[in-house]
Amino acid sequence: MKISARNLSHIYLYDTPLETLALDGVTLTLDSRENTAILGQTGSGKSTLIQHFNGILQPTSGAVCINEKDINKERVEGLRRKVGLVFQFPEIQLFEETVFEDIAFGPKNMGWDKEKIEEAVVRAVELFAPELRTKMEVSPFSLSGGEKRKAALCGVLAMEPEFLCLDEPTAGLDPGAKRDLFMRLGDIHRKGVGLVFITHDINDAMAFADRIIIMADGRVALDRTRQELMKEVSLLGELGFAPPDIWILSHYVADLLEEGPFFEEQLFFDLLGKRLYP
Amino acid sequence: MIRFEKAGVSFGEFKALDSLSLTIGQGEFVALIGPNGSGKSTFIRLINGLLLPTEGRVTVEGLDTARDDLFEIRKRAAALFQNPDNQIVAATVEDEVAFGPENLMLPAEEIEKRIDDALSFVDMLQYRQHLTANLSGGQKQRVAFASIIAMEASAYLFDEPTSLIDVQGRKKIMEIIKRIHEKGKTVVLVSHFLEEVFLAGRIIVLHEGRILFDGTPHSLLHRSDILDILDFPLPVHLEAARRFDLECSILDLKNVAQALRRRLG
Repeated sequence: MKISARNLSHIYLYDTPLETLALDGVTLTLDSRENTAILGQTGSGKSTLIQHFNGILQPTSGAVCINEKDINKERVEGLRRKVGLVFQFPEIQLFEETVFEDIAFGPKNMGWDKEKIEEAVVRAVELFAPELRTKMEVSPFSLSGGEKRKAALCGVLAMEPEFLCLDEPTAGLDPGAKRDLFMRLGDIHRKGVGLVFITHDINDAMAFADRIIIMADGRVALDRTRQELMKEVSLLGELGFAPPDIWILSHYVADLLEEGPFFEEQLFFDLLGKRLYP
Repeated sequence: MIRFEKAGVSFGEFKALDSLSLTIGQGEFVALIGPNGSGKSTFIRLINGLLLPTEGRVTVEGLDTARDDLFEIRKRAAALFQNPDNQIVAATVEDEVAFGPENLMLPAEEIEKRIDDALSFVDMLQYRQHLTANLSGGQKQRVAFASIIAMEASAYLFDEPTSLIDVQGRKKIMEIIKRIHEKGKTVVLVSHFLEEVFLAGRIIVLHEGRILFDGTPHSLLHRSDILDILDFPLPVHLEAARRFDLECSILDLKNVAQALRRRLG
């Protein structure tokens, strides 16, 4: 599946004295075989961009297409529903009486019958957060912070999206929970679901994504695969981003090692180990 | 000086903190880390009397949080929490920073001076007359910092002050915390970012309401049993310092890199 933005612009409060240009002619295509990170300073248009992907926001000009079909023009059944959108801190949107009901809320709105809804909820939980199996009948408000976030994500996954767009999915999580969430998202991606996530952290982008897009002033300022970006690290600096910590640390000693800088911790530590403990 | 004497807190059957005894000296920089529910926030709230111990006692400069005037205690130990939106009460930046000093009944010129000094300290002076609602998350948190700096307390308690802030904003906040400590203030920082915790002079690891570790960052790096319980991936510079036993006074990326150069050179 492909999502494309074509010369996409968005102006908030259009035609009022408060109008703000949030997206300025963005053209790009995301493929569900990719796992893409979107970076950018606050106000660069990241969230505005992904909120166009399932039609929550309408373009001021330009178009958004799914598999070449304009989602705002062609009434193709279920087209927008193929794209699941997860807002920042999705757990604040939990509201039902039980975890099951909360996860079932999306599928219910799809108009599915009871049996299909149940199947979808069970499948999402099995796939993404099996530890919630025993908590389906408790109040979502009794869950821990990390569990709430997983329950909220199950709610989106239960709608069986082909593409998942996440706005800072790990914000506020501790480092262990963050690594865990990225690993679960990686599993979902390997099962064929397209992934695009917003982050502020270049370390996360380089560790978990295979394509990196940097937004600046409502435009795409950089769009590279991870492999390409590794060869052009200076581009990050030009856009005000420090390279990943592993690169910085290995860069400090690259002359002494006569190798590097590195992007892979393991490679760097293996080489250091050989030098320091021959 | 902050002192816990067999201090504990129970919520019904649940022991959030279990009989802790420790002393935090004036001018120390102590970081608290532990899994969710380990009692970190309870620890902070005990110091400034937002929670009272259900056993033992907690004193701040000799004042008992359960018996003495909480206003006097909070003048000495000022706290700042995760979400600036829950802490900011005034419409403008200057009114926000003035709120504390006004409650201290300081003269008007002194309040003005403290507003200027505190906003300069956090590099927000140019926003003095701005509306707090229009600031970014990182800027709001810096205003919240200015508000407690203007109190001129002797101890500052920070409960995950950077957890909702982006990477660039976090670095600025950590710079501010370091400078507060350099002014001779006591700092107690709760964080789940190891790169922040390891900047402190002393680290306390809490687990299920008890102290699991209390020592220097260097000694914690070599306690793999404790690091395993925390189950937080170490940032790359700390992993390098651990694996290759690098000696450096402050465990930040630059110092670790220099220590690594020395070892290789």
